[in-house]
Amino acid sequence: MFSLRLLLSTAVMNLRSLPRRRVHAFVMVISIAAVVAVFSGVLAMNAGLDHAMLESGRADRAIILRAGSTAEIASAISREDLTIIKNAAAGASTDASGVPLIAAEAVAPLALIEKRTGLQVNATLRGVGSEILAVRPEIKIVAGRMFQAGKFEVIVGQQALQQFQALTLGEPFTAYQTQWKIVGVFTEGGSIRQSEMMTDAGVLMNVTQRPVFQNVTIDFPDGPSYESFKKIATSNPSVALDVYTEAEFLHRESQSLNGLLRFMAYVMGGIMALGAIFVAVNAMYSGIDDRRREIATLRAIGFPPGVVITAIVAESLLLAVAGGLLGALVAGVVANGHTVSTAVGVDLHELVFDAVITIPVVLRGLGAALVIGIIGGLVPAVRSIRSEIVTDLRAI
Amino acid sequence: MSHLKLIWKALWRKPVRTALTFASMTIAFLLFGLLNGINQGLDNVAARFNLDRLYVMNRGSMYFPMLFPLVQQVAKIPGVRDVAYWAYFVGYYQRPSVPVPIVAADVPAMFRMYPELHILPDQLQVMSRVKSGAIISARLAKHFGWKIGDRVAVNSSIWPRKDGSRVWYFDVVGIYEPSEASPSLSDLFLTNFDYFDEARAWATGSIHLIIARVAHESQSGAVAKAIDDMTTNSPFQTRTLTENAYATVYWRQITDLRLIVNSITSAVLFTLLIVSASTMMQSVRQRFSELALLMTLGFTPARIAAMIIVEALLLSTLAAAAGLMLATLAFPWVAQMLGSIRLQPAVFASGLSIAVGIALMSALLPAIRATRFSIVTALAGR
Repeated sequence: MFSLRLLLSTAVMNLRSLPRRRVHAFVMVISIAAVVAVFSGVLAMNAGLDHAMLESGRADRAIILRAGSTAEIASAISREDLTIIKNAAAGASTDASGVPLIAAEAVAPLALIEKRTGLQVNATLRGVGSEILAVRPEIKIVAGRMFQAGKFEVIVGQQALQQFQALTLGEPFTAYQTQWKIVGVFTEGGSIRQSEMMTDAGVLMNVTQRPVFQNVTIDFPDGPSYESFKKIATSNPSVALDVYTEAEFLHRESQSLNGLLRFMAYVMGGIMALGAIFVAVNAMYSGIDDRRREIATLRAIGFPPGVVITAIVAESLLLAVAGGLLGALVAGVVANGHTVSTAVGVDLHELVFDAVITIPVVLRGLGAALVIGIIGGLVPAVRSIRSEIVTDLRAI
Repeated sequence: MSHLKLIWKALWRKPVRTALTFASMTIAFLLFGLLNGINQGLDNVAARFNLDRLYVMNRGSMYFPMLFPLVQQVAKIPGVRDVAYWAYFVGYYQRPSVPVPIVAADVPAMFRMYPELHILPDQLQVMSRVKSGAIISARLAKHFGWKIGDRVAVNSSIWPRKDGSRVWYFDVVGIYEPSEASPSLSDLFLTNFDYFDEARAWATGSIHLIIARVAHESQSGAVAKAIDDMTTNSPFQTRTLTENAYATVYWRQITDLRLIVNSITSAVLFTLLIVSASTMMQSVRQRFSELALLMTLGFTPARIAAMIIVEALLLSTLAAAAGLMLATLAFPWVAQMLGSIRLQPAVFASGLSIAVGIALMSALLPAIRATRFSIVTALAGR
């Protein structure tokens, strides 16, 4: 195609003169890199949070709390309530021997010292039954062994082990006036539960003197059986329950943190991007201004305006992509794997997760760079072909 | 005077470029104002903590109960001047997903304890007469559209009434306004503890938080220890924290995000420096022939350098002023996202000093270069 050849030759000619405009190009690349680094860095944290939430947030697992519980710990489900729930959960999945996959959990806060900051934070000790391994098959004991029912034994999530002081496999620690022994370390596929500890539910209820469960988890084979359970459980007048899918429940927990991260990424990143657009327009404009005669010559010898504009935008996009890649690289080095440890939920329990630079994060960063690049190139390009050829030809 | 005019003309020699540079620098200062405003606002909140206030809660969790007699025991500890307390109501309005931060408290004691919460004395008077009264924060009133005189029906997820109902009615008798953000208090729905305690079906006498004021903040450590020691052998062991420690946990999420705030700030400032420096370099290089002409007219190199520096200062401080002005307009909206923090005047001081610093740094090299070039070559236009 004729115009494609024109376009190529124009673009190549533009690029050949790029070294002459290296300062403009450099400023543009740096400012786009800064935007993309900030944007993808914060989104990487958000992706890490989502990852931790999604890993454990299955849509066919139900979490049941007492109605209106703002935090899991504020919920209370008695043994009678549990019976009602079990009766309503006829559609639950079953294990090989036909036992429905239902786990009742008691949750107790545990004041521990965070290694990094030395702050006292609210860790979570979760009381569970032996059925937990069937209801949550993601749980893997990676060191030591499972706790024994009825004993003061706990297993510790891998994140918790790294994050909190005074937790060592095989060693005792004191909480609720009781000596506990750490007998195992577990992982749960990157889930947020890895920043928690688990023990026998009956033992935990005894030492906390709180003879109630906080949540009931039920595994359902599919969506419809979950929906019909939800209908039955929430319409029973004798017990007020909130029924969530696990995904909904975790979303609720991380809502405010998610909101803050999104605010930082999109609002602050957006304002930065606006600034970068001005820088890009400025850089491209200056570059074009210095080449007014060249561009006017092209137009005078009959290059169509579309070719001139496209060649300029192509150059701008090239610089933007360079900036975007540089920014993604910086974000990758600085933010990737950075451990975020903060407090979530109304009861401010500790949540630990790693920021991850995922493909969508990089793509979003590059997308932002491309938008900046297009606007940065288009505005001065359109301006350049609107000017008088004759005046431009006389320009020095 | 004529110098300034000359500098002004030089600045607008390429109007489009200057305008674009100005716009990008303005945006940078807008961001700086917002981010630094968040940072300094948090510092300001931390600095205003009253270290003479102690927070007593159940050792297990702030959601576990303590018993009312503890309030009287705490009040008797030497060094304690005043006590207030509350119980969580855990209420919701219409739907369980709309929580209302209701606490049942000794309301007059709460306003004694927190002089930074402003309430009209008559409204407090009415509150002590109307058993089902409620004093709510201005923010809550605005959010739910509640006014004085309204009867509000809320559900409690924990507390049924003795008559078996879960619906509680409260009459809004007062609206308070916090003078500045204080931890978790900017947004409360305060109701009378006595009324609540009489009407709830179970756990009569249980409370969740005791706030104690010590006579002098130097005593707070000793008093905190005395309270926790007193409860060691009771079934309800306590943990007593200073307001500082209590609030640190409350502001935790935002404080942890400071890392992000600081990284964005440094990225913005770095870019700002590059943009400003390259603009100055560019503009001086393009004016070599003009500068040479000025020199032949008798301008000393020092004067030329000074003019370049003033030009950079002008651009940078004007952009800073515009950016910080925009930040002032946008800040209330940002602050709402993060809890009520206010833009501190110190932000303007740091913003302007950064503007001066950036200008000096970016004018330094061009100014030196402008004093060292050969007049003849420059006049020849090479």
